[in-house]
Amino acid sequence: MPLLGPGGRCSARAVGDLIRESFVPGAALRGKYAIVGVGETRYGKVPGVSALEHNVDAIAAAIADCGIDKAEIDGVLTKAPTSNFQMLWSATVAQAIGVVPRVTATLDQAGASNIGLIGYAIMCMELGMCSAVVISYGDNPATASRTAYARPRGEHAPYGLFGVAAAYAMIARSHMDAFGTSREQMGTVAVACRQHASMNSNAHFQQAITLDDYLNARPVAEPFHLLDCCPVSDGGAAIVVTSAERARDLARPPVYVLGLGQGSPAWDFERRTDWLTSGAAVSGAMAYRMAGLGPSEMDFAQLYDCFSIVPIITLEDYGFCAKGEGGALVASTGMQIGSKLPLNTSGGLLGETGMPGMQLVVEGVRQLRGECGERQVAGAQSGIISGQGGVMTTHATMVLGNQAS
Amino acid sequence: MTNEHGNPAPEITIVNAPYWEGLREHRIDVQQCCHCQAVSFPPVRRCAACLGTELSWLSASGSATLVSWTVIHQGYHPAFADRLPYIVAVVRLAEGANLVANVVHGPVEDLYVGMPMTPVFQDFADLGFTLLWFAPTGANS
Repeated sequence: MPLLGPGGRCSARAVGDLIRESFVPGAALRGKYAIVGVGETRYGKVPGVSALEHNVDAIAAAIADCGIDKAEIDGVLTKAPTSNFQMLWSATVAQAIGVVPRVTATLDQAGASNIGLIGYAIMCMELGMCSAVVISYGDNPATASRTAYARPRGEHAPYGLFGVAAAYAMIARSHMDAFGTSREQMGTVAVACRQHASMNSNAHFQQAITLDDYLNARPVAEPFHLLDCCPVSDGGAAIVVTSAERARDLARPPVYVLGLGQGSPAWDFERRTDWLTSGAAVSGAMAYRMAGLGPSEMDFAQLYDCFSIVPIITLEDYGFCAKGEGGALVASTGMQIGSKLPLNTSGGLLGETGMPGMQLVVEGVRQLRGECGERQVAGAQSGIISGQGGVMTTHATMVLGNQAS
Repeated sequence: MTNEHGNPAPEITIVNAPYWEGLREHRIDVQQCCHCQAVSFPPVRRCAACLGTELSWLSASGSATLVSWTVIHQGYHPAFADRLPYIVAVVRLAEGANLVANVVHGPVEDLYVGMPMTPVFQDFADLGFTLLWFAPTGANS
């Protein structure tokens, strides 16, 4: 299985790793599996549709997208709705789509679950347990209940620490203090995501914003103001994953899973000693190594952006710049479509939908199929997707590509 | 101090009760592992560092520094509606434990990472508990 692409496309760091290690875990699976179908519902406020119904709608769209026979699907994997966690959710979703699978599982890594589930799907298929897996997420917190998003944890409630915005705000302040990261730089992330959302007719937010809009928005948990924070949105998205071999006979060009990684700082944020580096450092390195690619080969980045500071930290941890220079990086390029490394080309959590992460996977796939119209990153061949959960508690990375080898 | 919604009460358990009792007596009692000397906060049944089961209590000096903070403007809970905006911070005790607390007194503009902080034992007598807040060392109430 070749680890270097045509013309020897591989970063110097990846080559060094290969020389140092005679065995790269997971490398044998590089490109062996593909995302063959994607689907989504309307995003935003979608009244009258339950979380389960959003899952079903998204899965129906993903199945139609690739033309696979529903009877072929033998794995149903989900992340349970954030607003209303229930046991055996994948079994419930399997019933609703009329599938009796071999494998059902629900993974709780919060926003990192989607990529975690892709890894789980691949492992199950590699073990011969199933052969075609649907992975979905759907929820209706905007019209039903958003209390889960403001729930305090443990000993935090007496001190008025509710939800995650305050914790991320403290992380942002640490980053600003340590590196001089500014609100203007964080605002560049928000402006880019909203610009891309304005080019996406399905996005929760249809209006672009200016840096002035960002700076003047009302404070929420300082240094965060309203436009530093993703919305609470209804909707769902789903993908179909199968072998690259099976993918050849389906409707859409396959997008290959080239690399996967996980990294979990895990502990409550106040008990960690380093807030400035996230699980992206570990999970990104893992995914790059499996893929045999490095940051210079990434044509886009779909990075988890629950809050504006997160892509800045993630870009550093993914090796696009040195630690502490993420703010300068985003400010220097603007990160918009047409720049060297476009960020969240359908709007991300900040603009497309506050859903925890599947929208980033769907957009990554569409970009690599070349079907994004005016949002298309010209000539995209590989890209990196991040998933993050909790307060930088869990992290997963996926490298996708449209070249089989 | 509080509106009719009071203040969210701490979840007091058999394991952490000595800590909350200590606060009512204006002490910060934290656990130290008898085996590996690691300081555990919040209180635990087993030391997370070495999984040892013997933990003793020590009274912290009160010396602390500010790790980070945020100013909350959003009303997440009715009990805090009258107190907006308020400051939530992470404070590090000299003994090596980090905790979440409110910061009071002293203008927010003067706060800085690493600032020395002094405990403020905030009694909620009618509610039956005392919370651990902090103020910049030397700030006037």
